[in-house]
Amino acid sequence: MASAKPGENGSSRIRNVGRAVFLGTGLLGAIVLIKTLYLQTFQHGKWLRRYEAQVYTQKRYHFFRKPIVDKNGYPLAITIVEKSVCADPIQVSNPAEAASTLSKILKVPEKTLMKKLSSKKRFTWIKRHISDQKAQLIKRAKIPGIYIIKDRKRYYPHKWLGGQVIGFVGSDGHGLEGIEKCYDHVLSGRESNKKVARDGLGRLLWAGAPEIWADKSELKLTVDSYIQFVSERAIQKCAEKYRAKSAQVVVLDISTFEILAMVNWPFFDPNLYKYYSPEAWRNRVIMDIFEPGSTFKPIVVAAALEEKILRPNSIIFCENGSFRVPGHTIKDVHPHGWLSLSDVVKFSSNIGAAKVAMQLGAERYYHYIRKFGLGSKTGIDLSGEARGIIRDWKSWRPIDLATAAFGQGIGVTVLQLAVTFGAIANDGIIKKPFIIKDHIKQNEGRRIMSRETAREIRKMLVRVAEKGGTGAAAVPEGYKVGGKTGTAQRIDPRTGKYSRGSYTALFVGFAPADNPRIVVAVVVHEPHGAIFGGVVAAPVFREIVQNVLPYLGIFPKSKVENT
Amino acid sequence: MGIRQGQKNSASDIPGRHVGREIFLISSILIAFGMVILFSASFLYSLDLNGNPFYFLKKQFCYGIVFFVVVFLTSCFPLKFYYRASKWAVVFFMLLLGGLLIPGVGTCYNNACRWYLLPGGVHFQPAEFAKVCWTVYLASALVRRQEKLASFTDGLLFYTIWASLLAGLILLEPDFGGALLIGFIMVVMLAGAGVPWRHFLVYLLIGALVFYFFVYRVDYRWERVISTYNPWDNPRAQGYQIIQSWIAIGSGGILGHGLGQGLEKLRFLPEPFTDFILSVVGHELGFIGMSFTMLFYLTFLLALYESWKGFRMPENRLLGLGILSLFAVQILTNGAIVVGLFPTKGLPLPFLSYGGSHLVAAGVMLGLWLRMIREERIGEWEWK
Repeated sequence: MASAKPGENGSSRIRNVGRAVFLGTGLLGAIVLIKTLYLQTFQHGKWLRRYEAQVYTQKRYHFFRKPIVDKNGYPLAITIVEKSVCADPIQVSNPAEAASTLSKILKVPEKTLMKKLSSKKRFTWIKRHISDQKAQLIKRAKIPGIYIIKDRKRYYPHKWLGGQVIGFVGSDGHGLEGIEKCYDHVLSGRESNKKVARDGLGRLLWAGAPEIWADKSELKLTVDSYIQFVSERAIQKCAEKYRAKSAQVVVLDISTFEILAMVNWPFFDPNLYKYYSPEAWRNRVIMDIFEPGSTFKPIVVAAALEEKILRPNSIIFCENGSFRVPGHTIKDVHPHGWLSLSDVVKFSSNIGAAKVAMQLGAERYYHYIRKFGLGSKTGIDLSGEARGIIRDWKSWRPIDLATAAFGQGIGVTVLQLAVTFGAIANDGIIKKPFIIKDHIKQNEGRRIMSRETAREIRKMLVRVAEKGGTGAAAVPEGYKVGGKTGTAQRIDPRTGKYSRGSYTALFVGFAPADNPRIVVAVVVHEPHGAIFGGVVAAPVFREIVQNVLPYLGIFPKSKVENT
Repeated sequence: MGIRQGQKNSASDIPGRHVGREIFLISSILIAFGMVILFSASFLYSLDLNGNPFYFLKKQFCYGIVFFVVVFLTSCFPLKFYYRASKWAVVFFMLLLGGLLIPGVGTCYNNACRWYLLPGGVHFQPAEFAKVCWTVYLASALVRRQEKLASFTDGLLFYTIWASLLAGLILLEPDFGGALLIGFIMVVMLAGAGVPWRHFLVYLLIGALVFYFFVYRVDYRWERVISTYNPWDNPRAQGYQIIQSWIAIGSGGILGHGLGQGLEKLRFLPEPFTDFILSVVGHELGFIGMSFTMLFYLTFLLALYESWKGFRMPENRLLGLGILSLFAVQILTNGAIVVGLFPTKGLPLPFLSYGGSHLVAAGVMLGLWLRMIREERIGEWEWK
């Protein structure tokens, strides 16, 4: 080469520098790899734990409270998501301004808001369950520290329909009354924890639905919302017409003893439970006891027939309306002379019934009353059921035995009465009534009287609803029905004695007469203007039956013949 | 033709003559592998950003095509053209870098204004190209002024002032890593060109001064240095990046979480598809993937080194040394940063990181290298 010396010099120099750079590269590469290996093997567990701790978090999934549906699957109680306003008072920079803005939108007094916003808590509800429109307005106002969150709410789409039966849920999401309370453990959503990944900003990643979300089950009742509705409409008309204090209806399916309707008037809308008095929450059908009056007579007759003391055509002297029992006088509304047993029922003679009871004797009569399930719970799958009051026969005076024949001195619930008639209509087999559809399987019956006795009583009850009977007003056009009226004096809770102007009007019956499908018990407490079961309660029965039987596929006879 | 003749004549005495193909192949594989890792590291981020998981992959794919075009075009021109133009290119890029200092001209991310926004949404980072031009310029100038290198003022001091100008402009963006690279390349190439060793003693002094004024006295840099070795002092702020990188790599273990399975990229690991893309490799592919990647890079550097050993022409030898060092420093520094050996600097990993400028700059360097292999092979080095 021409420029040999500097060239050679530079040549070896650059070779050395290049070699140094390459060796340095290799050395640093090796160090990096060793450090990597160290991180990934020796320290692997440590970094993996840190990784899992920062990336994964436990998310609690809370399942929606199960819906309650009626027999046909129509919803009676559902859980919906609504918007709620809440606040972190510490972040609210100007409580006065925030309060005035919010009070304009929410129509809440400024003072209450001011109090909430100036507290030292980190969380407070401003208003729960507001409309989307209001939520939008609040969002747009952009008040610091005020948040809109999604909040679950139990909603009852049919409002008062079966309100007392369904009950309601408190703000903590647990049932406080009715089925919501009784089946809280079934309805309330299960919780499940799931490992969920999140990002560096703390946002959760969607990692698939938790298994429990697949659970779409619901609590199905035997209540049919149509029958419930029809019953409610009928009883409301009657209760308003006679300015009653309260009224109840039960509709029972005879073949299974499932509750088709359970009505308490005055109605109660569980959506607004806070605005009702706790009295209105009560499911009086199973909780309140009252004297059943003449509707009790079929029981004494059944006992007499079972014991073969009397036969349907045996005749009884009804003392022309006035019968002395030691210390007391029993009276009939209409005086009767000699009546057959069947007519005693048809004309509802107290004296006749009392005489039957006295022939039976206290012990046997008591035994039969208990056999009908009275004085003990029916065993319906609801909580809070009353037992009723049947005093032990040993403490009965003669007058007690006599009056017990027409339902005085005896306390029953509407449901007990309906079940009693259900047993008569079901050829003498009594069953536990139930309201949860799933409980149908474990429902074995118990015979309490012979098939013949039941048939004889049904014949008598059909006669009650014939022309001239006390229950003539209960017969819908085109159907034959059976039933019993009742008019009971109410005990004044203040004096403990029967009050003069206060009555309970009843009608309990079954339909259709030849092959009963349903039992309807109608009880109207303290009607004004009319007091008799045959006048007040029987038309309610008629209206219910008239609407329900075609719905069940049983059409009126005369109409069929005409067309 | 002369070319064919030259090939025949010099076939046996040039050791690295076939290596050009291997270098090209390895860099292509690295770019393809980079696309896979980039997609894994960026798809969730871009999904969150604009609903399109392929957003960054698409852009990087375009840059990849540009890379190959640039490699081809660069290798089309004779090296003497580059050597002659390099001085003016350095001046041109100094002007561009100076332009970035005018407020409102450059585009800034995280307080660093390093980019020109070109039409079509392309970000152009002049510093990346300035490095290349600087290397080419040094190669030509040091050979041309070989005789003057023995003098302290005409040699080391002269280039140090040049380098300080260039590095100062880059430092003002601020881009400390880029500035350091300019200085590092200069030192390597001055050493290679034959500057007396004793002159380098000055750098101890300058280095101490630079360290004091530009590192120790600049809070965030010093904190970065400190936090590299004591990240737990401030794990939520200065120590955050390195801790997250350790978590990513360490939790990967031998086999990794699986491609696309790692969750560190979900805004835990900062810059998961640019500066810390190697952490994602370690996170998702484990030590296996990490060592394969590093070995691939080392093979790439080895191939460069092997072919460099065959270079005869002084300019080419110097340029080769510069480009080899540039690649080596960028790759190794990035690796060392990611595992926590070096303080965190904004240095992309060649071929793997997202970004057009550094990829195209790498394309220019690779194109120059291929041209050097070709010219060495046909003996065209006697162009003077």
